[in-house]
Amino acid sequence: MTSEKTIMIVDDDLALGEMLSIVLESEGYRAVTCSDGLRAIKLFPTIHPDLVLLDIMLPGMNGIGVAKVLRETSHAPIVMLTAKTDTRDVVTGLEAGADDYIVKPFKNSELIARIKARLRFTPNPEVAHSGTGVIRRGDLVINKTGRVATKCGRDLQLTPLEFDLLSTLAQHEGEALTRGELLEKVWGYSAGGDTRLVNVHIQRLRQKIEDDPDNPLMVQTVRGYGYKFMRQGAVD
Amino acid sequence: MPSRFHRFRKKVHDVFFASLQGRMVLLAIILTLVLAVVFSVVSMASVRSSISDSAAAQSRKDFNELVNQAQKFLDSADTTDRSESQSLLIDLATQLQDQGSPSVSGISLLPQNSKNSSVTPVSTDPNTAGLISSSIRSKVSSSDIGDIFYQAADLAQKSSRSQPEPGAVFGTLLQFPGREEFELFTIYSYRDQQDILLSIERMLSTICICLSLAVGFLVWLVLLSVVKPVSMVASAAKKLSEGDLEARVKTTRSDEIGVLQSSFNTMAETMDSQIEQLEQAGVSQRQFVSDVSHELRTPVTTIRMASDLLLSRKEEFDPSTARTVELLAGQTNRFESMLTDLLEISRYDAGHPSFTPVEEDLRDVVHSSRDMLAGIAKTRGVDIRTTLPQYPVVATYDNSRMVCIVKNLLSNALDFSEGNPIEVMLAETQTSASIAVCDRGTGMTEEQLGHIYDRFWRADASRSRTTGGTGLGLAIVLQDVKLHHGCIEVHSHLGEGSSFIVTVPKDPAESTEDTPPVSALVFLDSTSLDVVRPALQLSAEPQRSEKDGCSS
Repeated sequence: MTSEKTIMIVDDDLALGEMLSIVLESEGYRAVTCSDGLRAIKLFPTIHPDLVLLDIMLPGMNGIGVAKVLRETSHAPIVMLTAKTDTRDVVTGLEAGADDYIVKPFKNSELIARIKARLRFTPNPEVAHSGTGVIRRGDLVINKTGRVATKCGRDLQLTPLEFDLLSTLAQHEGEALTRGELLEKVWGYSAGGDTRLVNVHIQRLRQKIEDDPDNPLMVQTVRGYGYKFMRQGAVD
Repeated sequence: MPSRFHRFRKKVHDVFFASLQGRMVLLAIILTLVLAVVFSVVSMASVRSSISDSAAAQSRKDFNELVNQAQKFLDSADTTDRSESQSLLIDLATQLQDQGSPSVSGISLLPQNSKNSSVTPVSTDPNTAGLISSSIRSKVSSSDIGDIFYQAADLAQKSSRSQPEPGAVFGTLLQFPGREEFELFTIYSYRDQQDILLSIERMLSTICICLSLAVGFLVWLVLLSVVKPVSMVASAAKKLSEGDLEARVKTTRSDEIGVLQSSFNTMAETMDSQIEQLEQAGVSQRQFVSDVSHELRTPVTTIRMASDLLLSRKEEFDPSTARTVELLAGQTNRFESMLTDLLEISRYDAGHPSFTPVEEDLRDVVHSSRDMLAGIAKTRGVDIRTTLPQYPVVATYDNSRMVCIVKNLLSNALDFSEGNPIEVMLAETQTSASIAVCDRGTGMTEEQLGHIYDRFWRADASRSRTTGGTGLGLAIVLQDVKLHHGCIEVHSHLGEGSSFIVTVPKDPAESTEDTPPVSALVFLDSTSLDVVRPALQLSAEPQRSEKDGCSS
């Protein structure tokens, strides 16, 4: 199968790693397991996975460190596996570059749904500059077909998730979207997503697209509601 | 009057026993005064007797001289005339008065036989003449020449002095040569001696008072140096007993007080470390529970995944294996949710629950929780009806905790709804927002209401838990609500249903525990009353209402 997606599982619990690969393989993915943080970083370029399932507590280097290193060179979606929902770990992990997280213990269906949502779109370099489905907002150009966003002609290096977030907001330009709506449209949660996901990724997105991330002009917060992509007139 | 006296006695009693210092000073003053007075009385008595003895001896000596002079005077006189005898006696009395000592108060010359005497009695001071009693006169008149008689007398009646003036009457018989015999009486006043005694007495009493006051002051000073450090220790002990484990005393001395101070500090130190140890033990125990629940999550994940996988291939198994797989999956779910709740509760117990409030629309909470339980509600055929405002209800809250609150209340309502619809309502006031979850199911008795927040408590022990309730749900809800500085109210009637109303301040940072959010009853009385009342058939006054979190 040429379209077979590779998923790298980084978890120090061998039984869980094996179980994860059984479940993923039964869903038609190729699974590679790795139980050490440092080894995962070494393996990553040779495997070139489409998605990384990353445990936070790891020997060698913890999941947050791994996420940071991987994010420097790759835009591959990172989904963290965590047993702790309450600690700063989740937020730090998201800030380090993870796209989503899933709390242990989880249902298989939940895991597959999360993975599918993250693998929905993969950048297609062939249509990257075809010019169809392009949204222009001042300097900002969002190429929906090529899944590339540029500002002043410079590639913004958005991760697929950030791109989804930006294009979803831009599609509803001038219209406020709640965090719940964004969780549904971008992350694929039907209910009960963690709104911190939205907050953290909006921050990351602003770092990349705004001139002054602390005083955002394009993606603005609607107090007590959600976020809004400002109309062009308002931006100028 | 008796009550006033009683009050006075009580006041004295209070003052006396309230202050150690006052009590000791008073005792010292009283004791010193008693001792000094006893000493003064004893010494006064001895001084008095020696002074009066010497005065008596002095006056006796003086009187002897006077008697000799008088006899000489009489012997040398040569008169036969009666009128001359009279003037001679007057001369003699005057002369004796002049020659006698200054303490001589008066001289009296009396004829022995006054009835047939040729002369009348002579006295230099008629006032003192009255002091000569008949007893001494009879003694003198019947005595021989040269015998001297003495009698004490009080001269106060003679003078106008109010104080007693001791004195003495000396008497003897004189011979008028060839003629009759005369009685000579001399009255001595001991006023000078009495004045000396009085001044000594005055001085002694002054000394007594000054001495006792000085001793009292000294005792006060000594006590001050003792009591002050002791009272400092006492106040530190009070602080310690009130829970201030840091309370210590400054060690200022090396004597017994210093030992007390340092012993107190040692005791406080020991206590502090003991408590710390106990706290440590508690913390490590809670940490252990937290760690265990946490460590269990990874194997449970594997089990969960395995059972999910088996469940998805249920059709491939024979019926008994398929049922086994179903049971495995069901119980794994149950185990997992218990573990989640246990972990949550242990976080509260360990004192570090996460709380990341964000300003959001509370309607989302209702939607999310309803959606999460929609599946179970559908299989039970229970309708979840939501009544939400048309506008966003913005508050600052921890989304996952608020969802957890409403989800727990909803899942509880599902357990007890008996197929009747469940109402979820949201309303707000200026400063607070309330979410109510009402069912028309079994309801609870008053006794049951008292236990709903207990861990692992079941309203009906025989009732099976069908939505996977863990018995920790409401305990967690209560903690979550408190974390938001909110409160939770329960209204329940047996057989009619239960209504849980959670009220949280819109801004938990501004709310303190002293000023709980506006009661949800305000909300009940306003917009949504029409909805709630038919749902619960609430009487104007709820039969039983449990309000938690507000008063704590």
